[in-house]
Amino acid sequence: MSDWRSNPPVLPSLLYRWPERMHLPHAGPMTIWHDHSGALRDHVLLIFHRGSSGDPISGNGLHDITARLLLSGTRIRDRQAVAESMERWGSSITARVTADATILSLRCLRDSREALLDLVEDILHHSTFPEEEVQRVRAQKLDSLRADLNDPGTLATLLVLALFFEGTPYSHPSQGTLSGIETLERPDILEAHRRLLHSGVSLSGLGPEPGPWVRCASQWPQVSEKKEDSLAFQKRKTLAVYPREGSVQSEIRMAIPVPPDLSFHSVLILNTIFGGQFSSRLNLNLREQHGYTYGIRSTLVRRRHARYILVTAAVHNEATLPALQEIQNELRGLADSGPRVNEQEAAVTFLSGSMARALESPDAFLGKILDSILAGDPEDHFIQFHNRLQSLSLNNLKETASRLFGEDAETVTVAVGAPDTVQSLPSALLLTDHPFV
Amino acid sequence: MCYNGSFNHETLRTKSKTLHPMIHQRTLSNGLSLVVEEIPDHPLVALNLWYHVGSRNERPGRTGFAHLFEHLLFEGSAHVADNEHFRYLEQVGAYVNGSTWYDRTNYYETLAAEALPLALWLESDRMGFFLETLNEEKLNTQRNVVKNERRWRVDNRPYGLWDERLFELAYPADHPYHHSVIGSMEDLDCATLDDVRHFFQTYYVPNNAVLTLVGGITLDHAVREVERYFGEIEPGNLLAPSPVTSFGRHIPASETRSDKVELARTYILYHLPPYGDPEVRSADLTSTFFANGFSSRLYRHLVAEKSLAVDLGGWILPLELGSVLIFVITWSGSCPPDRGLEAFDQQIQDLHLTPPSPDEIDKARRILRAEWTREFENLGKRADLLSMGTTFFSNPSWGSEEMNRLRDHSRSDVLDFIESRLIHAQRSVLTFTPESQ
Repeated sequence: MSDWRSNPPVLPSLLYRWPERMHLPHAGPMTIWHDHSGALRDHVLLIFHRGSSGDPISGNGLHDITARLLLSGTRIRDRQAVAESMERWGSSITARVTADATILSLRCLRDSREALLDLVEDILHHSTFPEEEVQRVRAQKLDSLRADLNDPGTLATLLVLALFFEGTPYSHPSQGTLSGIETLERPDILEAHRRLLHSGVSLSGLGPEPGPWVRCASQWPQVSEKKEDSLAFQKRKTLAVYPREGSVQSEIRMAIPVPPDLSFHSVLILNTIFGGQFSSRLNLNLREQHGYTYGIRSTLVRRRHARYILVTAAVHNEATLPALQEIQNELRGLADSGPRVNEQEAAVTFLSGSMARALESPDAFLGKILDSILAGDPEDHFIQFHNRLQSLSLNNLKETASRLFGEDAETVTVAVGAPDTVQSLPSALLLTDHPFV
Repeated sequence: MCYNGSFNHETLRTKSKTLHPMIHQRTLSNGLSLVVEEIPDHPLVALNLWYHVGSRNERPGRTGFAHLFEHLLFEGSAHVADNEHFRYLEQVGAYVNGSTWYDRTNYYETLAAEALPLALWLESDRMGFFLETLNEEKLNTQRNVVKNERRWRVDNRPYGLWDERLFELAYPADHPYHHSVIGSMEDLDCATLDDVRHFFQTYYVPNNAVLTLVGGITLDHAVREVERYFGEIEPGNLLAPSPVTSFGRHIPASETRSDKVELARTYILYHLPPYGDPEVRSADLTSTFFANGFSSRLYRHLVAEKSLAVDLGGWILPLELGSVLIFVITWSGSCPPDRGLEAFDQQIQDLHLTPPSPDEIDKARRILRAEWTREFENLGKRADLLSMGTTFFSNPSWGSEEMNRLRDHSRSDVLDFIESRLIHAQRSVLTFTPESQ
């Protein structure tokens, strides 16, 4: 056997390259465009800065139903004609709503760009929201939400966010609650549509010819890049359980608040070490060492007015309590001792490489840009990303870890699982019904 | 190793933008097939390694073994310590994973082009020197992980049993596709170290593998590096190929299961010839105009006009011994599945009375072209398509050629397919109904 095989190869310095933005004449500050060579079609995001956090309290789900109904007919096309206009060219328009935005994802083969532009202008300006379509889509949404709530993983995620954001505009699911959806009527939707078009738009896309898309987006006001205030809300450390008959696993979710003054890049590195990659502390402990789970991850989520880390795992019933204890142990371990220097170095190179890996596909690339736009990152976010990660000292990270994961962290944890399992967890708040009815 | 990732402002502009790129194929003296697609100046490389072994090669009493084995292959090899495989790759920001399917198992990484030697070192070490570090503890840990994966994917998820049960209905007990890829809990418990050794020595040999590299690499460099890392690995003695196809042996079957679901859902499976047969292309076009998209016949009728269903779709599963066409329909809360299935059957019968128009076939061609283009936009998927074409058809360009074949596929072939395989077909039907009904 060759000697060289005993050690990993020595690599040159890795050069992670991020494509420059194209600087477009007559385009506003929130137009971000790249000529991504891997894009064989046009990929465009039209981002309206109004999402489900703008739903009325009694009519949540309003933005979601409005977005879905954009494809249900215009003054000159009925629902079927809208679908034909899109699909006969192999194009797609998908509308989705997040807490902070309504996003139209547009994709087309290059030779059908004009047809899709024409359709986009029609559905945005001339949608009629017919009453029979409102009723049909509302009934569909109710059915879909009931099905979602029957999925233990989805239910656990919705529950933890409802408790975490209790009393704030972020507490309800983007698709709405059953009672909220039932109240939605056509006049509400017409008003939501009118407001949507005045909410400010960002445009992001990939392709060689941005001009037509820039002209399309220029009809709406652009939003400024200013950073908005953080949401102030009361939290308290909570473990809540939701019994689900017949479960063979417990779906565990934990939301960890990120104080607004903590550096994004510090928190990102710490999350990577904690649970943000396969070789994270959580995954090596719960999966590789104990075999409790298929996988456990933590994700740093950035909303316009709040940030949090969400831990996600499904563990077999008998492992529910030990898994929760191990998660706590890992939190305490990072809070008390901070990361090790080799963990810091590995996390920085992982994050830099992950950012560059967005070049693998147009979808991944636009996903990064969307996340950055919604979080309000500065224009040099991508170019300076690696430098900002590297500028942090181990002491910076230790201080951040202490505040992020320390005893005072007001974590909210939810376990959805078999009644015998979850109801026996110590100090658990029993949820006898969930807040989405 | 040196991992000094740094960003610069260099704009990514590759020279190869077509679907007919620079693809090369070579075979090493030990039988390993190497496929290289050069995309000059691309900062990333996708590595994709197919072993021509999947769940269909499992022996009775060992269902789920191919997948369990895939997990074990991430647990280290002679020169790679436990848990180090992921750690090495994540340190350079790589995306890394593997998957098991009926006919094949694949392992893949996407990473900076400069880091390719690291991925080659890791892949070659486990191809050549895996067994030396195998032990009972690793087997037991991964057995637990896989059992948790099964609970998560199948047992604890609404409709999670669908593919396992549908294939059990569709194939006789001795057919290689009768059992699921994930396998049964009982069989997973039975797997021994001897099973692992035998499986590795039989199937994980260079002459049963295709290694594909796509991205910023030249052919000369790739050949040199692959020879260096894989050249010394001895070929194996391959088993005689399993008898091709039992197409025609299938049995019509129908089953309704009460389950923990909110909405009733029906899966309908039609048998097709092996992947690559022109009839599979006809099936692809048919499922597209019939059940893919808002303007498709089935969606228009069952969802938009009659509100019998909330969602539906249709697709082909490409399989070597005989592909399948599957439709899935989630019924609305007010539609009994029997009534819904009658409406589905009526739509199938109507294909005879009102065959698809030339416009419908054109639309399907266009939609499929867009879908194939999406695959080619993703570096990793592009590499996977090249491995697939080489493994199944000894032709790495098979995927890009398939786009042209779909474009040229005649309407009369589609009409013949509808008559022979859909209207007068034997099929398998699986329906889930809510426990409360």
